[in-house]
Amino acid sequence: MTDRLDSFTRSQWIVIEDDAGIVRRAPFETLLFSIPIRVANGPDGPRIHRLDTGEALPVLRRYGYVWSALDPAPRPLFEVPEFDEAGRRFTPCGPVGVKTSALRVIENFLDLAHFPFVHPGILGTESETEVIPYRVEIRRDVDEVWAVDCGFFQPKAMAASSAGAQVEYRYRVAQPCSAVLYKTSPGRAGAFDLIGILVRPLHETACEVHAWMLMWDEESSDESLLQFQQEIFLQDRIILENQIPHLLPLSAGMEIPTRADATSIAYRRWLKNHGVIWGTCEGIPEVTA
Amino acid sequence: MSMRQTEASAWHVVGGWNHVQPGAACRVELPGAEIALWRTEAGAVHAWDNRCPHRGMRLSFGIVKGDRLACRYHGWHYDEGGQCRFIPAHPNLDPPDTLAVAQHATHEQDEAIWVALGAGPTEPPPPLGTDQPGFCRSIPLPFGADTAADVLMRLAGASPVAPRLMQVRPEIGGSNRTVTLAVQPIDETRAAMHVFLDGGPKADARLAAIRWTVGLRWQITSETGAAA
Ligand code: FES
Ligand SMILES: [Fe+2]
Repeated sequence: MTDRLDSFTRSQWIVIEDDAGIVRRAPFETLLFSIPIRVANGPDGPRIHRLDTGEALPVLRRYGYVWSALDPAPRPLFEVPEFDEAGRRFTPCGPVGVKTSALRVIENFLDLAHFPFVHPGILGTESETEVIPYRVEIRRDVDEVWAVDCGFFQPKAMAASSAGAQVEYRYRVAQPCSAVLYKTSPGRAGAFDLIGILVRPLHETACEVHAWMLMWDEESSDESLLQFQQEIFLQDRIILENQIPHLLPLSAGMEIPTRADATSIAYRRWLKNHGVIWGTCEGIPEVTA
Repeated sequence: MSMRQTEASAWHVVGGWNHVQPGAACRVELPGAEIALWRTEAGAVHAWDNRCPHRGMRLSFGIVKGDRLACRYHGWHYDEGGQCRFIPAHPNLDPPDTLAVAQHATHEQDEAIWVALGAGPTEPPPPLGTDQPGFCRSIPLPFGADTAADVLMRLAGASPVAPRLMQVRPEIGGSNRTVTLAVQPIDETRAAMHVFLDGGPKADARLAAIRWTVGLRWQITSETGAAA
């Protein structure tokens, strides 16, 4: 219910659909924080309305996506300067529906320790499970959570990888429901590929997940890039839909982290400090589902 | 006494012996509790809260490794006491004692797996017959346990012998035999029935008893229309 929609979450731009998806699907009806909305496409671009009140919602086009918000004056969208640099290739991927909280999806995206078990032979291997200590920081200027100096051995880090490699990762939580991963490019020494995840909450425990890739890769076909992302995401979805409760616990005690979970700990604390309620166990005594 | 306390103190049949094979895990439900039921490779059965203490993954998705259960998400190992013994992200760390999964009581008898929430009653569960009872078949019931008891009395002519246990002597394989029906409560609208047959391990009679159970299920479905 929308009485659980806190002001921080409400003031965020939320992904609606990628540009091609708008052209292909509009007009269509969908949900934004349990509120039915209608997305239309006209000569002057996409228009989005609430179906309950008829109110027009703000629309933003950026990074190959259409965004909207319930708040008439949303906070500025996060910056990804790499979108304006030449050389990388952009591939949007999705959407995939997932029956859990958008915040659980983001937390899973920030997690290194599951690679050997959930993505064996691709993003990890059971012979190399250790998570080397990394640094987590809150970047005050942009109010984002960053994890840097994350390293992990990966058998097949990207679609274009031909062999296993020690990969360097940086994670960035740009919004409660958006995160970006910077990872060393197999195609170009010293450069980073970007993978992003944008989640739209349909309800508190159901969401639609869009992923994008911005990569130094001229070789792989679109199809193989999509297939690679898809395979990984379907492996994560089995986990995500079977985490109990579906709402993300923010208070300590309900789940027990270790040092490898430093990013998740910082993410939960950051959400709590911003008073985020939507998609969390906050205000729900003894959640079980 | 609250409902929860009542259920916590009672034994429930949650399936036949083969509901969970050695080296396997599955999910079972009791009122107010979701349980990961798993069996070590050596054959010991365990019933745990179905939630990994780390990040909440259902432990029924776990992988049995010898006498330990490994969580599917980050591979944490739990021993038969529910204590975490290994965290792959920190291979050299000795997990603290506080890292443990909540356990429930289990008991195996008459080819049935029994579970009681928490430590369970001090008394073992009652027998499921008088002459070498054996497991035949389980079926889901589309109504709560109390309604289930009424329906089974009416449609199968079963009579209660203990809480959630009923008996009937239908003709099976040419003679009248004692069949015990164990009702597993789940919630207001769901229960399960587990069927046991007296007379020792006689495969021919068991097949007949399974046919009788399927017939009863058909009767329940057509009478109540609830599962349609
Ligand atoms: S959730 Fe079970 S090991 Fe992480
Ligand atoms: Fe993953």
